This record gives sequence, structure tokens and C-alpha cells, in this order.
Amino acid sequence: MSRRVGGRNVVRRRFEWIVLKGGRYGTVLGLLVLFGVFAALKPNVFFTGRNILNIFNQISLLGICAAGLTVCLVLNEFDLSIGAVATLGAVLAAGWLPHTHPAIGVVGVIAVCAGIGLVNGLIITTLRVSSFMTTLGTMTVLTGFSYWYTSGSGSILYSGIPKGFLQIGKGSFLHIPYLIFFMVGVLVVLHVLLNHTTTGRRMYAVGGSPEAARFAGISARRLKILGFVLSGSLAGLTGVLLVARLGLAEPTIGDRFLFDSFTVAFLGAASIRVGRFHILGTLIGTLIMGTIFNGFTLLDVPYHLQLIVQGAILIAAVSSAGFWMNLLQAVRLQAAGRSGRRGEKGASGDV
Amino acid sequence: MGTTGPEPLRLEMRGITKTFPGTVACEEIDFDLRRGEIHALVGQNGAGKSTLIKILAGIHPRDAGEILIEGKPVEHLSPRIAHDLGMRFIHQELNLVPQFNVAENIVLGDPYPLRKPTRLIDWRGLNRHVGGILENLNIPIDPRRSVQSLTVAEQWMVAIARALYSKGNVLVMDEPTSSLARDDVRELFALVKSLAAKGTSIVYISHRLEEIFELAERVTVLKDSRKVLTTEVASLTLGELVRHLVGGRLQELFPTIEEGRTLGDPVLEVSDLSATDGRPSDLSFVVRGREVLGVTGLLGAGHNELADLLFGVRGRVASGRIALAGTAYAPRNARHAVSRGVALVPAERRSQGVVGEMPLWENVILAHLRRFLIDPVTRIVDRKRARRSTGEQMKALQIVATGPDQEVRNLSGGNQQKVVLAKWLLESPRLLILSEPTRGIDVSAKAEIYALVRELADRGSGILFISTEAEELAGVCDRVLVLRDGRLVEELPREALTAHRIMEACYGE
Amino acid sequence: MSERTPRSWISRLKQAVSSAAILRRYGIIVSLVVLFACFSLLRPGIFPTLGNLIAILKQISLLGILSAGLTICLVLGDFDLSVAAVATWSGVIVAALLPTTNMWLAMGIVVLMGMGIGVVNGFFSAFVGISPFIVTLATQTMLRGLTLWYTGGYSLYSGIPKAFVRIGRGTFLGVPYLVYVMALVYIVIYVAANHTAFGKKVYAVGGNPTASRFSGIRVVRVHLLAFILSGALAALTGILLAARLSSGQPRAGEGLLLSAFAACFLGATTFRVGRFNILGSLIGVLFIGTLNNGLVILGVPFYLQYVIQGAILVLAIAASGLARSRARRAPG
Repeated sequence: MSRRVGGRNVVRRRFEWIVLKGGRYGTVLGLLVLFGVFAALKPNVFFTGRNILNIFNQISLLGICAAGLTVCLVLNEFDLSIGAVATLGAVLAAGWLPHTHPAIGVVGVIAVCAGIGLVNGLIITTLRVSSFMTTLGTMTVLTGFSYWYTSGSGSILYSGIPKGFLQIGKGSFLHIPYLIFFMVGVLVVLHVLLNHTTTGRRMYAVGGSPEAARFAGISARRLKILGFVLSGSLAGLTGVLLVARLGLAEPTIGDRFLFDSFTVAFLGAASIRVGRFHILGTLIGTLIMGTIFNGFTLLDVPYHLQLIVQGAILIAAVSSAGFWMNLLQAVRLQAAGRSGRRGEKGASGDV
Repeated sequence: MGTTGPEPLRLEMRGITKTFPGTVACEEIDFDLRRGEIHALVGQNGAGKSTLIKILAGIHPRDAGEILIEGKPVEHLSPRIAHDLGMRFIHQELNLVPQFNVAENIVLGDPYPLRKPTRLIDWRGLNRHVGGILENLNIPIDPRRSVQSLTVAEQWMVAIARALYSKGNVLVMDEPTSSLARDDVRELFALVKSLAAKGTSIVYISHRLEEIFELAERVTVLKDSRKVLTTEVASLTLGELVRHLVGGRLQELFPTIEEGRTLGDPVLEVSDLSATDGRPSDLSFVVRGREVLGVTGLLGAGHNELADLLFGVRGRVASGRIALAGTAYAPRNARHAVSRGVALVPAERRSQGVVGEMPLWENVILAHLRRFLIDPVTRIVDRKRARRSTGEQMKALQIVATGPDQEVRNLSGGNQQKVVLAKWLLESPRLLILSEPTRGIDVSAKAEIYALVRELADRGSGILFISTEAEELAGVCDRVLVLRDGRLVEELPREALTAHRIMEACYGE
Repeated sequence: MSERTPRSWISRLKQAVSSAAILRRYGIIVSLVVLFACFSLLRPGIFPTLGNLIAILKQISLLGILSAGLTICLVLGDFDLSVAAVATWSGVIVAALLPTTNMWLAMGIVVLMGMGIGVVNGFFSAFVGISPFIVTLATQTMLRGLTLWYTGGYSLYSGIPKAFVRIGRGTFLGVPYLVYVMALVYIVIYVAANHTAFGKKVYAVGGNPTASRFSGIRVVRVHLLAFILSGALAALTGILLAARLSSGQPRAGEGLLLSAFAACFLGATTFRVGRFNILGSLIGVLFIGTLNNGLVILGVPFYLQYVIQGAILVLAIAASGLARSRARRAPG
């Protein structure tokens, strides 16, 4: 069947092995390269503890929002409303906190955002409609609401926010900003959820093979609703923390989180567990974006160049991930053929 | 070891009816199952077996009929409810989650073992437990392996392990042995028998009739969406069973093939053809004009792969030569194949053959759009001419539809298949490859298709008829090649062509 | 085993909505008519006038052209998120070229650039195999960066020839040129989608890519051509946008993306139920334009417009979902 001709075949197989093992860590490698490049270009400034912390600080909110989105993506659903929900969270927080106890205010805001996720989930699962369009619709509604809510005060809410609350956004513990604790906490909890709980594993099953999950009696509906509730809540938390950090809220404050979260999540799906969305990958993607942003700022590189680089890296990462997966598949097929026990996958189609 | 008498039946299905748009899948089917019994369910492709099982599994809702479990009626079924009622299924499509490893696939749908204080998944415990089950079943697979790296036979064994993971009362297996090697089949039989001895009821669906005789106590035969017969296996012979399956209409089904016809020049010449996955392997044969060459084998033998390989849609040629009407032919993709006069009626009609949402006439012209343009610049389609040609095809092939505008997904399976044929017959193909052409099609449509195939051959095309149904191969083909493990093991000439001989050659006894 | 309560009220709701079969198929048109009637009743002297109707058409002409190209991509299941960014970029570049180049040549170059972006989108999504969502997300990010880089955040308005401005603002027989362009585009795209070989291939690939491939259709090529078309029309939109604004503005295209998708989806709830189609997109664009126009005339603040637009979108989606599930259940 496959004639081992030696020589060329051996070289080819070794090459495949390298690509297969290495492909998974391509983005991590890229991250390290970025680090190296920036460290070399700005030796005294970039690679300091303070700057590294700075990177984490800048990406902490994106990490939280993207983590919530990752759960939806695991379930094979799109949540386009996260940007608008983040804005809503910020705007509501800025509006309520001056008048209530901060804890109640924060919980209330997150509850509202969770409720929006619930509405999204209910519409999408009950009526079996496209998540893309539904969340597009809710996003539009929420954007309008945020504009209305802030219209009375000249579009920016900033007065009366309690100092204690602002401390959350700017303070630190043992020199590590609180925001980083939030991000790490969220990432750890979601990582554990997706990888070590029944609920999380079933989410992967539903997203990976809806038929198999359905035949096994798993209720996709409940899991998807949970996914949207999570992404809504975390987007809301992002908004709340935005206010803590910036001390204000205005109706476009959450916009960039939409596309950035998707970018970061997809970068994550090109890392380590290639082809699957996962929290660790999302973290790597977030770090890449943060490193680029930080490095470019230090180098005085203008924002537009960052955008271009961001887009290019996304395409490069996802392309190579695609190649990697095709290669893996081809190698597996060949191995199966070689062992000689390859049967035909059961022909379906019986009525 | 089941006994008849006042003992309550474990499962009863009465008058089950189910229709899909365009087809009746099940019509008033009765089926019952005793405790600890092995009950075989047989029928040709499209007879309704898989649909009946999917109804039982809660995947399709039934249109009419009752289902009783241990005497209690069940109104509403879902996969979860079926599972809770103790029913376990191994469907033909396996349904494994490709991203998961073996252990997670086996536990899919059942609760994971959790660690005491944290209530998180106890992975080691899971692997241990699953490993134990795999060992008991004599399945030498590491539970941590990714399911995508397994061969189909190994995947099947994982599916069995999943079905047996939690204790059930009813086990339904749909075509279990199609991907298993001989030793594994023996193991499977021993397992099935021991399960039945312990009280589990088994529904065993298979095309391989000898297995029925070796394994089952009772057999139910489905034909054309109806139940034909339920009886003790001991009271039947193989021949009688076959007759019930196919019906005494064998003679009328097939067109007469005149003896001593002159064949045309070679249309397809294949020498030492091997594909990269070994299906086929060192295959050589010739198809001449005006000839219908059958190719068959057990599932996995390589005959279906041959169709896709020759048409350029799947698989890659590793070595060997192919010539089409004397000129070298390297199938690159479907478009290339079509330009060389090759046509394929694919095995999966709904997913590969027709675009269901499009009307009939658009499906028919799809492969030869160039012929129906008003002018080459604007590339606007000449609707009138296209519909006229479609009308002609509809008449010639006796396609039953409300008109050329009817959406193809609303046609019956037989008519859909005729639409696929019509698509290729717009320009007489040099080589027509048919892959499982009558699967899921009612008898009268089958007869029409057989007649069409012979007619096409008479007009000069070379026809490669790939099928796993021995009767139709015997009835329609001039010669039949039998493959096993990708290799040619026997060639049956016209004189030796009977369904029995074909099945013999497939099993290689 | 027993009927769960939520199921019964859902099924009753479904039955109620879909019992009016006509509503299912032509829901958007009916809604459009109803909308029109409402606004006419509320502002009888202002809304239903010829001048206002022409204004509506003018307001939606650019959105319409953008949506036409997007529709073809959506039939294939390709989400082209880059259309707005391409339009913005095209507006900026054409404004940059106009002072020194012949007007028609400048426009031609920009359209070619749009097609080039379409080639990039199509290459990475159809040929390499990456999800078009992510590819177009990346290209639109890069285009935003390029636009920002080229303009430095400023508008380009010097050296724009009068002839160009006239395209954007001139009229013929009282109807703005822009409307004629939109009408022309829709006629051409409608014919292309429904009567040419290309259109048949697009719908075939969108309906069943495997069967199309097995019929000899070059699936990758079809996707590529769709992206090129979408890019070309996005570029055209940008050019006309610059003409209307008499300048190339780096933030011109914002808001077009969402509205274009909304229009296409609204259109998918009509005519060919559940499938994207050109005529439906046109109705969707008209609907959005009428809604916006009416709300402005009523003096509704713009944020409320957002809310209403979003709510209507969600309702339309919900209605189409209900109708589709009912249709799925009915045999034959």
C-alpha cells in the first residue's frame, strides 16, 4: 500500500512531525517573538515588571469580555451584542452608583446584563433563529437605550461616582492592579467551568457535534441560554469595571470590545488546542493584542499601524491554524490506511 | 431464551407511521420485543428500519401509532427520555464528538464521575472506569486517545462501549458488523449473547442474513415501509428469508438482457489503480461501451470509494493508470471529470445529488449551464429552452412532479434520483458511474431506473454500476467485479451472475 | 412523557402567527405598507409628499447599493463584514485621486481596488478555508487602519471637481442621480442573480455546496466572484458617498454595516422565505429608509430610532423563525 521508499519519505515525515507539534504553539511562539522584538527595541522600558503589569492591566477588561464570548463560541453561537452590553453596563453603573450602595449597584447592573443575555438565549433557542441577527438586533436596541440614558447629561456620565469604587479601577494589591485579579479570577472560573465540569464539557459537545449531543440526550437549549447569560454578564462586568477605571461612561465606550473580543477569541482558537475555542487560547490572544498595543505605544507607532498589524496577524494565525488542521487530518488518514484496518464510515441515508 | 406467554413484553410498537416530505418512511409498522430476546430487523435500503429505530430513540416524532414500554404507554419520546427508559442505541452514523477523546465520548450524556469536595470532574476516575469497561469488552483502546485518530472499526467499538456504559434494558444496534473484522464480529456475537442471557433485549439490524441465523431468535422483515413478517428464525431458511425481503417480483423488476450483444470500444481502462488510502488497491478492469459493469463488495471494500475516485471528488490516486476512451485520465475534480464525459450519480442523493431548494429545471441544467445561455456575453439563461429540455427529460424518465418548477426536495426519493439522472443525460455521458442508485427508492421507481440503465447502455455509454444489493447487480449488469479490502477477488461473468453467487463472493467463504 | 407547559403556549403562538399564510410570505411588504400608512396619518402634509418620497429614495440609495452586493455573499453563507470599511476607504481614495486624475479614471481605479479587496477576502475564505467572518473582520480592521493612516483623521475635500459633486447632488427630472444609480444596480444584480448562469450557481452553492461540486461547479470560484462583486459595489458606494459629501471622510461608512445586514435579513423573510434574495433586500432597504425618515419627521430623537430599529429587526427575525418552523413541520 504505502511503499516506504526511505530517504524522501523519512524527511517528509519528520517535517510533518515538527509542524504538527510546533503548529500548536505557533501563536505562543509569535507572542514570545513580539516580546523579544519590543524588548530589543526599547530595552529599558519594555521588559520591566511595571510595564508587563501595564500590559496586563490594559487588557484585563478585554480579557473578561472575550472570555464570556468564548463560551458562546464554544457553543457555536455568535454574540454580537457584547459591545453594546458593555456600554450599557458602564452607563447604568455610572448612573446608579452615585445613588446607591456600590455593591447593590454593581450587582444590579450585572443582573440586568445577565437578563439581556437571557433574552438573547431564549429568542435564539426557542425560535431557532440565527444568533448573528438576533444579537445584532438587541445590540441596536441597547445602543439606542444607552444614548437615551446619557442624553440628559450631555452624553457623558461622570459625576457622583463614589471614590471607593474608583479605587477598584485604579488601585492595586501588592503592586498588582485589582483589575488583573478580576481578569484572572474570571479566566480561572471559566476555564474550570469549560474543562472540569459536566456543564462545560457538554457545551463543547453541543458545539462540536450537535447531532451526537442530541442523540445522547443533552439539552442544547439550556446550555446555550447559559452561554448567552454568561457572555452578557461578563460584558456587563466589563462595563462596570470600565467606569471604575475611567471614572466616566459614554455611549460608545464599549464599542471596540465587540470586534476586539472576536479577534482575540479567534486568535485563541489558533493556539494550542487548535480549531477549538478555549479560555487559555483567548488569554494568549489577549496577550498578543496587549503586547502589540503596549509595544507600539512605547515605540510611538501610530494607532492605524496597530490596526493593520492586528488584522494581518489574525489572518496569518488563522490561516496557519487551518493548514495545521488539514495536515493533521491528512496524516491521520494516512496512518489509518497504513494500519490496513480502514473501513468505510457507515453509509447513512437509510430512510 | 425468551419465552412466549403471559410475560409482559419489554417493548411494543403498534401501527407506527411516519412520513417525510415526499416519502412515506413507515406505514403501520408493528414491532415487539421480549425480555432477553435477540430480535433481528431486516429490510432493504429504504424499507424503514432506520426511521423506526430513530422514532424509538426519540429523534423523530411519530405521526401515528403507540409505543409501550413494559406495558406502559409512552406519549412523548426524546433522546433523554428514551435513555431514562433504559434504551440504548448504536446508530449507523455513530455520532461521536470528534473533538473529544474516547473516554468523554463513552460518557457522553451520562454524568461524569466527580471529585468529592470540589464537584469537579474526576478525570483519573473517569479514565479508570472507562478503561475498566473497555477491558471487560476486550477493546484494546486507550481511553485518552482522540477519537479522530481511530479507525472506523475502533470508533464502532467506542460506540458499543458508550451504549453499554450505563445499564440498559434494550440495546439497538444498526449495522454493527459493517466495519468490523472477522474476529471482532465473533467477539461481538459472544457479547450480544451474554447480554441477552442476562436479560437485555437486543434489536439487531443487519444486511448480513447469515448473522441473523447465527444470532437471532426472531426476525421481523420490513419491505417498502411496511412490516411483512415477524417469525421465529428457526422456522425459516435463508432462501425463504431472501424471498420475503425481495419479493417474488424479481422477474418483473429487471429488464431482459439480450444474449450475445456486441460491445463497443473500451470506454474506461484501469490498470493497477491504487488510492492513497488503499481503497482501491492494484485494481485493473475495463468498461466497454454498451456494457454495464457492476462493482460490489461488503461495506468498506472500496467499491464506493472507486466511484468518488474516478469522478475526482474524493481520494487521490497513488499509483496506476486510467484511460478514458484511449486518452490518459487523471481525475482532478468534478469539473474536469465532466469535461471528459464522465458523470456520477452519487450515493448520497440528498447531500450530494440535488439542491433541494431549487426547482426541478434548475437542477436538471446545473451540470451543463453553458448549453442554455441566450448568449455567451450576458450569460443569461434561456429559461424557455431549459424548461423545454426539462420537460422532455421528465417525460423520457417518467418523473412524477407537478411541473418543472417544483422544488426537488418535495419529490419522492425515486423521482429525485431521476432528476439526478436527467441532469447527466442532457449530454450522453461517455462513462456513467452509478453509486448505490436505488437506495431508498420504491420498487416501481427501481424498475424504471434499471430499464433506463440498460437503455443508456444500448445507446453506447459505458456504465459502472456500483451497489451492495446483490439482486439488482445480478439483474442489471453484464459482469460483476467483487472487491474485498480494496482488491479484486472475483469477476463474475454473465453466465454465473446470480444474487447468491455474488453474496458468496463477497463473503469469501 | 408529559407535555411541558412552555411547549403548548409556544405552539399556540406559532399557530397564531403562521395561520395567516400571506403574512408569512409577504410580511415585510405588508409591514412596509402599514408603516407608510401610519406615518402618513401622523404627518399628512409632510410625509406622503413626492418630495419626501424622493428624499427617502435618496437617503437609502447608498445603503441599497451596498446591500445588493452583500446579498449575493449572504446567499452563499459568506458574512462580508468588510463592506463598510471598503466603502469608507474607497471614498477617501477617490477624493485623494480626484484633484490630479481624470474623474472616470479615478472612479475606475477605486472600483478595481474594491474588487482587489474582494479577491483577498475570497482567497482566504474560499481557497484557504478560513471562516469568512474572521477573514472579513481582519480585512476591515486593516482597512480602518489604512484609512486612518492615509487621512490622519482629517477629511479630504480640496480639489474635488464640480462634475463629481454633481453626481452626488444633481438631479434629472427631479430625481437624484444617486437613485438612478441604485435602480440600475438593482436591475443588473437582480438579473444576474435570477437569470444568469452565475446566479444559478450562486443559489446552487448556497443551497447545497456538495451537490454543486458534484455537478461540476467550481465552488471556490463562485465564492471568489461573490466577494469581488461585493467589494466592487462597496467601492461604488464609497465613491458615491464621497460625491454626496463632496469630500472623502474617514468615518463616512459607519452605521452602514449594521443597516446593510439588517436590510438583507429583513429581505430574507420575504419572497423566498428563509433565503436571501435581491428583491427582498430592496424591500428591506426601503423599509429601513422609510422607518428612519418617518421617525425623523416625527421628531423622534435618534437614540429612539435605534431602539425601534433594533426591536423591529428582532421581531422580524422572530416572526420568520416561527414561520419557518411551521413550514418545516408541514409535510410536502
